[in-house]
Amino acid sequence: MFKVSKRNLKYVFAAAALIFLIPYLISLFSSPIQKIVQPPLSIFTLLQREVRGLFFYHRNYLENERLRNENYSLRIKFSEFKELYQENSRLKKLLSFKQKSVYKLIAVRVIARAPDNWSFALLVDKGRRNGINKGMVVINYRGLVGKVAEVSDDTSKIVLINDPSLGISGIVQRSRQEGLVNGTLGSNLIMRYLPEDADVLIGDTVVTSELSKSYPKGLIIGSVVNLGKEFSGLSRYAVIRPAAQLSNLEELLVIAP
Amino acid sequence: MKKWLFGLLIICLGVLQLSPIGILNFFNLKPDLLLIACLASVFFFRFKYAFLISIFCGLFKDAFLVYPATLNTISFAAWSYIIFRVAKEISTDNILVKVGLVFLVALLQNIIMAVLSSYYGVISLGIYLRVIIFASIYTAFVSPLIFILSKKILDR
Repeated sequence: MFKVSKRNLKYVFAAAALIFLIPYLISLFSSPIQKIVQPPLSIFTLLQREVRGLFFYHRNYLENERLRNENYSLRIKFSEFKELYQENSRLKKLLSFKQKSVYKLIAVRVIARAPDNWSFALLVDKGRRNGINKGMVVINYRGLVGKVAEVSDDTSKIVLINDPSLGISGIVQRSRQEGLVNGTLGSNLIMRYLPEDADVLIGDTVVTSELSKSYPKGLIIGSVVNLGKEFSGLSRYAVIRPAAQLSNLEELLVIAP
Repeated sequence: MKKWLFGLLIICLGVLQLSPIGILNFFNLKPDLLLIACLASVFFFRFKYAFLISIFCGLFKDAFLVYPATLNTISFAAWSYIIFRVAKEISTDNILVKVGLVFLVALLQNIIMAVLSSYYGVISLGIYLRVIIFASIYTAFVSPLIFILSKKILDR
């Protein structure tokens, strides 16, 4: 059935040449394809949002009320923290500590998701022209979201923290226990290589560690929802629910150092 | 004209598959609409056009992926050739045969992706099986709709 005759041999060679050309073709076509698809995707996303907004009007109204109240209490807390921050800065100056750098944030909007089931990535509407570079960290108001993997002039691809290819050095906020946080392709993350006597409890908050040079220290990754023992029996693992709701991301912030 | 309409259908399917809100998501899985479109082109058009369509579908998918950036372009072209040869041997007039072939191709495509994904990170067996089996079934389940749409475009 799949016998290759001499006549077909040239097609085989053509196919082989095509395989070698494909990486070049992709780099050539990737940006134009993204540019062509960007306007219909943006319109489609906008329409979906508006229809959803109308459909869930009552729920959104109640949520708005709740958020207003929350916002009010947070403002009060924020002013208290501001006071503490200023006091802290004054004390640091007195002690001649180095001032912590303030990050610049770039707001981006999600326009597409990865088209397959084997990776968790997003396409956002800003790129190199807006100051985004490869490797920058992406957050939202809840916590860490991911990292910029690829940048074109007007768009960027972001790998989410639940993608298995991403590894983050994490630390349990309460006990300062360190571990490696990985994506699982599911909705949760896994914190591996915890020693047998690790002080980790269900409900503990996990934040980025200062060991990881790629991520700023102290960004919230998520909270521990389950604990277990590795198959080898040598170490333990913790299942982490991400703080950011990764299945429903719309607006994000890119941290520009 | 029919070819252009089919091209437009592919772009619409691509936009649906890329939708950030995930209207097609079912248990966090989405069907591979571009793979179905690639196979539909083999069933309904001449092979040369179908082959070009397959490369375009693969490029379209790869353009939005982070890794491995060339796999879909190569595999979609290969699937179109294999299905073209298979369609010469067996009758694909019955829609159930087409759905069966879509399921087989989706399953094999997912297995290839699973093997590659294991290289990029550790994934539990449960998640592997869930994506391999259910995503393939979901893709096959959605395929008749696209076949009907493609047939309607052809019959215009």
